[in-house]
Amino acid sequence: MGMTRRTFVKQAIGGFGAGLGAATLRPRPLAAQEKITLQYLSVARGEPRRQAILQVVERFGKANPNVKVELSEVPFDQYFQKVSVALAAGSGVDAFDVDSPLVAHYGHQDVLLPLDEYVDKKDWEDFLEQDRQIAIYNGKILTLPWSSSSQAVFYNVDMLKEAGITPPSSPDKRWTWAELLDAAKKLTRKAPDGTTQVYGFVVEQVDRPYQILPLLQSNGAQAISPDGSKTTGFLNSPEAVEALQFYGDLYNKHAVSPRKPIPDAFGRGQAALFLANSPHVNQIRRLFPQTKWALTPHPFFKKPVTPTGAWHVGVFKKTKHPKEAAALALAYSNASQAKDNFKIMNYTPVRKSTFEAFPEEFKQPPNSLFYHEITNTAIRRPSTPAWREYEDLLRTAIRNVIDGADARKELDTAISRIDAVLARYKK
Amino acid sequence: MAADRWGGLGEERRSPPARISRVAAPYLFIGPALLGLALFKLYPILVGLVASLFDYEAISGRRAWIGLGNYRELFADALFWRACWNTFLFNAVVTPLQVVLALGLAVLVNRRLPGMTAFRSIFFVPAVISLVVASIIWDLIYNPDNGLANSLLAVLGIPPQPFLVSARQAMGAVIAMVTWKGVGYWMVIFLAGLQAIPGVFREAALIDGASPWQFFWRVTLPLLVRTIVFVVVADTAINFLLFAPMYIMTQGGPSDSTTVLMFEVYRNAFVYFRLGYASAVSTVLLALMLIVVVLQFRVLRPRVEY
Repeated sequence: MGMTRRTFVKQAIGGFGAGLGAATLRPRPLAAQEKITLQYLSVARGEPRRQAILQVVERFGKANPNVKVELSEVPFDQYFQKVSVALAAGSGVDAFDVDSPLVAHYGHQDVLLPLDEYVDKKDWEDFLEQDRQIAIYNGKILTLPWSSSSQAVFYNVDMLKEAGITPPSSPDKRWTWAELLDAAKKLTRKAPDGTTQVYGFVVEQVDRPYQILPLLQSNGAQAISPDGSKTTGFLNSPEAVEALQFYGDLYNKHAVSPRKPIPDAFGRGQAALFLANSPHVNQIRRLFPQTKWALTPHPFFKKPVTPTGAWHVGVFKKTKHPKEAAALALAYSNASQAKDNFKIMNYTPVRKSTFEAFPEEFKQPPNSLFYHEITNTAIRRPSTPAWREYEDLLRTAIRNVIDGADARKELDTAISRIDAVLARYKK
Repeated sequence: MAADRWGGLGEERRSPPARISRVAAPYLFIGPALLGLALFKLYPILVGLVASLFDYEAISGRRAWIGLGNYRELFADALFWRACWNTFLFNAVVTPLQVVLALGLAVLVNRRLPGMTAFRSIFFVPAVISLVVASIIWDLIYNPDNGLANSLLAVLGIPPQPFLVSARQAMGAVIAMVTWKGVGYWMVIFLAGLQAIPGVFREAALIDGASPWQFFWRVTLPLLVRTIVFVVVADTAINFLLFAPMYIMTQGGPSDSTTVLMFEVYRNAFVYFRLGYASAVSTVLLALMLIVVVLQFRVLRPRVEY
């Protein structure tokens, strides 16, 4: 039987349609087999610290073959902005590193998924009380802590020996800031052309309130009013002004610190004293093994105060995969991973079980000193929804004082702007 | 249908569709450009204008109508006025400086001398470097403790300067860098303008006995007005919106000395995520730009055509 052109076209279309129907009717793969992608935003921590998150991603991938974790490591200076942009856009992030003082900020913005239903009550008790408090906002667990921090002064053993300086090793005999300045003056070395070859003293986070607020608090100032409503009379008190001016003088009047930070100045032998947090122990060991160093406690004015707080992990409320994202957050912060995180990064632990797993670590230097500080002298940054603005405005003031501006004028400007922000959040 | 004596078709004799297509043709040609302008420029401006009337938290997405509340807050904020002054100061110095230097260089490299192409390229090089890279390099040059600028000053016996860490010098230092970065680009535009001036004017001026200086003032400059208008207006628009050097080198400091309006827009939008307030600042910035550009068009209206 001959086939007309029209019949051929009809049959061809019919055949194609049947094929298409078969394809669409074929049972879909099981849900469990579907590949889910989670986006994790992490601070770019460099070596060796970044190995911890790489380990988490690898382990999580093996345990959950249906989930792929896409890790973005963002430089610290751009990190908070990148997170905020992703949160505002509502995409590009499922879980992310949360700086502990920002929990209240994100809580106020209602962008974090409450994790209460995913957290085992008994396991939650394993976190230290102070870290649990930071993670809770309006009665809900919003983040899981995976690190805290503490600071001490790293010193170059050879340089101090050469200058005849013996720094105290015990927290009971710690240097005052004036004593540290004396040492820094002796340790600063100039070249014949007047340029500085070795700076007496450098600071890890030169203009961040994390680092500098403890100076003000050590001199008797407070970061914010007890009810969190204002900074006037607290952050610009005479004690605060005096402490910040002292800090600015290190850079200008005494010139023992560089006005523009020099990367890795301590490790490269361009600085003799380095005020920094505990992860630098592993970093200096790994990147500058030739540098002989030891620790002396954080200096003080009237009473010892040291910085603390570090990183938590949070889940974006609008994630399409809350269960998997929460599982990833747990994988980063669970008791077993916490031990590995500590070994890799040397952040101060946030779990009792981590301290118990390495009893010797916290009885001897360097970690015995960090342990002493977080249990005795650490004051965490204020918990306020306005922390993002507070930090930026105070940081600007600190930066200006480093550049030679008057501490009183800068703090007065900062507090008036911070108080305006606090009033806005109160509305 | 008969052709008229010029060989064309008389208007009255055309069929209606032909007349419509004649009217529509120009709009069809400029249509895509207008559509792009409306979509990517006018629409965002409109959205910004509306957003400036809201208290708008970008992260949580909360929005509340506050009318002119953002503008009231803005005009009461000392930092806004400081940023206005800095923006004015920056533009009042940078734009004339860039235009004069670019025109001077263009006249110099327009001469037919051996090796001139090399000089044109050298002057143009800063224009092809990314602004971010240039800012980072100049930040290093300006380092008060061990930067290149102070090393050069030391050779001349001048004491080290603080540059970017001084509230008095920072704006000047940023202006110097931005001028260096922009001059080469505008030089090329001026060069094109100079080369478009027909040679007959030069010949006529020479025959009349004009000196090179007279020729420049009386002939070149008036004929170059169209190019000058373009350069001045485009440069003003770019400089009003410039904030990358301040962001990278000074973060608006020390003590707000380099905070320009655009930096305030950035800070409120992407640090504090107050989109309503940031939109209000950008609306004011847009209004200021509009006033300045209209004034420039009025003052620099070409008086000679060729």
